[in-house]
Amino acid sequence: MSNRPFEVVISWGIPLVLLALAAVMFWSPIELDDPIPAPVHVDRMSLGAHPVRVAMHDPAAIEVASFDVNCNQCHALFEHDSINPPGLTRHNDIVMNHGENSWCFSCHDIEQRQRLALTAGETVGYDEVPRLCGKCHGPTWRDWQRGTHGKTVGSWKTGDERQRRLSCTECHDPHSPAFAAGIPLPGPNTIRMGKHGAHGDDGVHRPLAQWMHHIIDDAHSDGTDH
Amino acid sequence: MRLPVLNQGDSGGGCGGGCPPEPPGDSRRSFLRTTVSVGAGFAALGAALSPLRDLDVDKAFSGDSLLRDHYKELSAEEKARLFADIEAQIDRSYGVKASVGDPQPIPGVEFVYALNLSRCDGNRACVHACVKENNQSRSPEIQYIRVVEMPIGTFDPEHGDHYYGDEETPKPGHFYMPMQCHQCANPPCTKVCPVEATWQEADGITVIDYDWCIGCRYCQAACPYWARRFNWTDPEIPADELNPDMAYLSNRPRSRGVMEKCTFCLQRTRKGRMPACLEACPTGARKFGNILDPSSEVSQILRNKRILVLKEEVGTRPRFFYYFDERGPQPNEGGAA
Repeated sequence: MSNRPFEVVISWGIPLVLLALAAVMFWSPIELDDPIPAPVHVDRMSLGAHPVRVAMHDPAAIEVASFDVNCNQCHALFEHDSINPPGLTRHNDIVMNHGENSWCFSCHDIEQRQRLALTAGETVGYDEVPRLCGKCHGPTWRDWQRGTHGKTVGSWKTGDERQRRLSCTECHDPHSPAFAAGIPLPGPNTIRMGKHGAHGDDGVHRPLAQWMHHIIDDAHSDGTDH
Repeated sequence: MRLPVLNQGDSGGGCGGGCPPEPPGDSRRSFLRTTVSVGAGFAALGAALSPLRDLDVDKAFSGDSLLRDHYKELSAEEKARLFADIEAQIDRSYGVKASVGDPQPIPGVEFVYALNLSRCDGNRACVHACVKENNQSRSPEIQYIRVVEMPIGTFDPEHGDHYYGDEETPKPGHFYMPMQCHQCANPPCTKVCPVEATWQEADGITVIDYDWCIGCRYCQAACPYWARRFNWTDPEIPADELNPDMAYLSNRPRSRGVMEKCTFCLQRTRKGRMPACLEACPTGARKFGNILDPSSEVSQILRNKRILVLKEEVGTRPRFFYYFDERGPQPNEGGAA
């Protein structure tokens, strides 16, 4: 009779514990930490395979009060100041940030305003912008001609009709050609690459750091006591 | 040895009067005990099988996927049937009419990628264009391209930062190096695969047959460029963002437990188009083309530019090259004078 309680524990307790465990596993009432991060939102506009900016066509199309006008139709009426570019009453939306090249007529032809000025009186249309930029940016123009600078879209096949090499002003604003700095699109958001917290200041990858740091801290405090 | 006897009418008869009398109610207790034990056993069995609740029978056993041959041994009819099965499954899962193709390497074409480290400004447009084009899982997100930010004057990707993003880029005094599959001519990843689920194609692209992959991740360990990704969970892709232009060996939806990697967008490039990362790059830092064509942009770059082969010393012979421009310090590169 003395082993009766033990027998009861064995024969009732173990099945009941197993039943309880089975119920826990089946219905999972315990909220586990979900290591899967939520998806990040990325603006579709920032992924488009289109030119970064819209370049002017040739001849340069200008719309004034819904009329297409030619540059010279206005500029023939005004005396131009060929020495002193500031003090504009029109084109005030243009932000000039092109280094030392801050004079309009370095690039725009002083007589034919719908043309661009090369050296020695030669002019080109807006469809030949690379020649104009090449006046100063020689190595870059050379690279662009080879295809080692700039952006070619559509097809990698030489001679494919879909292939198009973008012109200088389809990426660069000619008045402010450097690309502006900006906030980048979201970084790694995966399980394997972890979150910021998985890396210490020393850059070493410690994927368990978030969960383990209490234990590690405790161990450290024990160690320093002795 | 005394055996347990159930439901014994004469309590004293079993052992000749030497043993104590059985207490009344013992048979009921034995019955309950047996019932509970059996019940617990069945419950434990049910709990052990409970992951089957999440099994999508359609995904696990679709069409010929269980009994078919290796991709390279499939006949044209078998391929057509397999691809039709996959299309039907995508339609059931996502409600999207996708076309799963099988573009083959173009004779006389070997693809090469070149990336201008002088121009990349770390904006990560390539990373997300890639995710969208190649139907990667959004949660957890799988990104084939990893952009590493490093201080100018150093070159140690292992101590670079790929989490940057709180500040505007380019950060003064830093440069950015995107890393993705280098499509090696001597790829370690294909050699370690125990089931030949990954191999190098004639145009240099290393591909994976997701149906053949057993998910051992040896290839991930073998890759010196950290270019391979593993699907830890079922990929989650919004149906309205699924790219319906798919290829069997590249951007068709993957399943849990298989590897995936950059394929130079073979569903695009084998039809003459540019990879998605190149089309999205706003700085023109990315160049792609046929190295066997001497007039192609990548040929010009390899002839005329200064080239960096990442981890050249490990002998993988990558088809992915970094190059530089000769140019002075830029306004946004602060301390680099």
